[in-house]
Amino acid sequence: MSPIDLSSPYRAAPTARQLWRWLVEFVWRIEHAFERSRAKDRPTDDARLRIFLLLALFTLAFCGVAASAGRVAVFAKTHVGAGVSEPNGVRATLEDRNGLLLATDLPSYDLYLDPRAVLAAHRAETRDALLEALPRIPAERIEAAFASGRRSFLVGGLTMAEKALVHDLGRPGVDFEETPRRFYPLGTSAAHLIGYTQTRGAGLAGAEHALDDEIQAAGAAGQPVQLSIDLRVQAALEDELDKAAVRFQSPDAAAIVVDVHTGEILAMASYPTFDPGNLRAASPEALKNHVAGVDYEAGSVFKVFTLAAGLDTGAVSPTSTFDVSHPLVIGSNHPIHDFDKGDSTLTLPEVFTHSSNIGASHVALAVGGERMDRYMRAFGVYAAAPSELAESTRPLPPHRGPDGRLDPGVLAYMSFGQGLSVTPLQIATGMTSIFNGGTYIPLTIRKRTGEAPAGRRVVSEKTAQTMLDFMRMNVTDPKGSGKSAEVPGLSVGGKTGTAQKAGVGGYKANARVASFAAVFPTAGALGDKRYLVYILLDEPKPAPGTFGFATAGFTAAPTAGAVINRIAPFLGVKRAPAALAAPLPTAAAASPAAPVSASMGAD
Amino acid sequence: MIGLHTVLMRKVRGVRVVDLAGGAFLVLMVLSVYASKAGAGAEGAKIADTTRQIAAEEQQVRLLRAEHAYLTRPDNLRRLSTQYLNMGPIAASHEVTPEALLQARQLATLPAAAPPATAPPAVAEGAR
Repeated sequence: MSPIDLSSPYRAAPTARQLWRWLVEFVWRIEHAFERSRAKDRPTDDARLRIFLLLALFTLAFCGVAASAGRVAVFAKTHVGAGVSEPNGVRATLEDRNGLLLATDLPSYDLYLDPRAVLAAHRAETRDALLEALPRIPAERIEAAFASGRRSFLVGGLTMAEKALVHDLGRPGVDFEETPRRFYPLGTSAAHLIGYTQTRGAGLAGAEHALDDEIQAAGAAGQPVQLSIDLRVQAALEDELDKAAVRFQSPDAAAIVVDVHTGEILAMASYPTFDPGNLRAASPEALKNHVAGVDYEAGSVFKVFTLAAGLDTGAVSPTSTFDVSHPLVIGSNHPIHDFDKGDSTLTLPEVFTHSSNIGASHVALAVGGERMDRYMRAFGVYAAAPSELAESTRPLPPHRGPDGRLDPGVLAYMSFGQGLSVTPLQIATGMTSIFNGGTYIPLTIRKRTGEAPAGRRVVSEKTAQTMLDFMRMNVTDPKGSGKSAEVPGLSVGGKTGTAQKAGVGGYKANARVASFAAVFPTAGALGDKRYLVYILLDEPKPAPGTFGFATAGFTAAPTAGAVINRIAPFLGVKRAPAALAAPLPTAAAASPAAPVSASMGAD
Repeated sequence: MIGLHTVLMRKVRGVRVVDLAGGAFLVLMVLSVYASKAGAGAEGAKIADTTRQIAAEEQQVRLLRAEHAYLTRPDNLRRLSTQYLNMGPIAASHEVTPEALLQARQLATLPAAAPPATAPPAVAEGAR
């Protein structure tokens, strides 16, 4: 009788004990059946029954296996490409505008040691083998891993070759984990513009941070992200800026090259610089982007904005004259002086080329505080430069009275770039809006593929053309402050700026910021190809050949000339045939860096 | 039609021919599905293998590209070209038009022509 009473109205689930008893009784019943067969003297029945039972068991098992195999074979889904990992989380490769590599993700490996898989007798041997293969593993970390008794991290950032070296040791307990690592093959080149990322994640600075989402999305799609910079232009700019910073002992310096029509930043250099692949070695000063993230009093390059506002409002014209024979005193402010060049009356172009502070002040006063405010706002002087770069810093605006208006004294100082601090990126953005024909467009670090954005008009084309003429005049005029920026055949125009640095209780006597804003070629129509080069040297010192001066005419201007001389061929700017007409002229006759005594003392 | 019906309605060991034919067709279909799945599985494995190879090659290309960029970085080229080839940025005075070159050649062939300036050979900065 079955131990489970199936006739009972209440069928409780059988327990394991009951099932076991039922199985034992079933086997015994079969066994008794065999005994009964023998007792009835029918042993053949006994053997047949046993064979039948075995057959039934095997058949049942095979049917089960066949059914399972059939189900798997016929109904299981087939995964095409199964087993291949997708490159999730990989950042896109960064390239310059010509497709040259700037940053990419490469596989990197972390090395781990699991002491449980290493016999005690082999530990010393394992340690010695690891240290021989990879000496940069800290020995104490291996000892700590053995002492911990669990899988421990030894060292990260192994290259594929290093991994192969350790792997070939064939040591048990040694294994690897793959982690993508950002690689910056150019070292310090364009470091501030490219930026850097966290060890395994998001961008922290430069384009890596500014275009983070775009880089992640492009990485998932397997597409590169192209930046606006041209590596050849970048290299030339960095080289010349480094040489100038070293020659003039500047603690920091900044430079930028911009296509004025598209607003693309073709090169951006900040000194000192750093290697994004080795951030631990970088000083905080080196990490600072001096183009976008540091405010300076720009000095006389601001006269470009002042005169543009004066011309555009009609407050002054190229034929206007200004008395600069005496220092200008406004209220209780310090008197405004010019560098003494024996001037008494200057026309507007001369105010520009002689870099007259008194003349520029007169222009600003003629325009008036309200209109100057409007123009400065239009040039982007009062707000952080609208670039993608998160480093773009807000300016230090000029002091205003209780009514929010600019005091005439402040207005006069602002006219020649003192009393407010802006970033070189702001200067470049404002200048671009004048020299492209008068349209304000934000500068970009992205390569533009279509047409440049429409922008908004800030000055008329006539004003833009006049300012281009003034810029050129400042380089060609015998008394022009930008003479040393001249490059044969490229019709370079420019404006110097030498600003005293503010300190505690006023301006410092011997600390200056020297800058030069150059535009080339100035010849041709307003819509022709044109580039802006801005160079800034912080606290430059006199050097051999500068006659004891460290003003912009001796420091920043020749640097800009040298940069333009090198980058023009890369940008497709051809020299005017007249400059090349003479067969094989001597090198000394055309050296752009030759000091020009006529510009001594010019700012 | 009647003949076919008769054939299909015939019984072999008590089972109609039509049932046997249907059963055989069913088995054939199951086998063909099985064969197709097995074939697709094999192709899938091949595709996976090729995809893995492509990924490995891409990785290798990326590595080589990075290595190339590292070796041809501007400061490295500048150092090497200055150190071993005495190259440098080209001066404006070393740029001439083809017409000027011709003029210089004509000047050089004249008996009383002044000796040409001893300028070093022009080097293209584009090589950097």
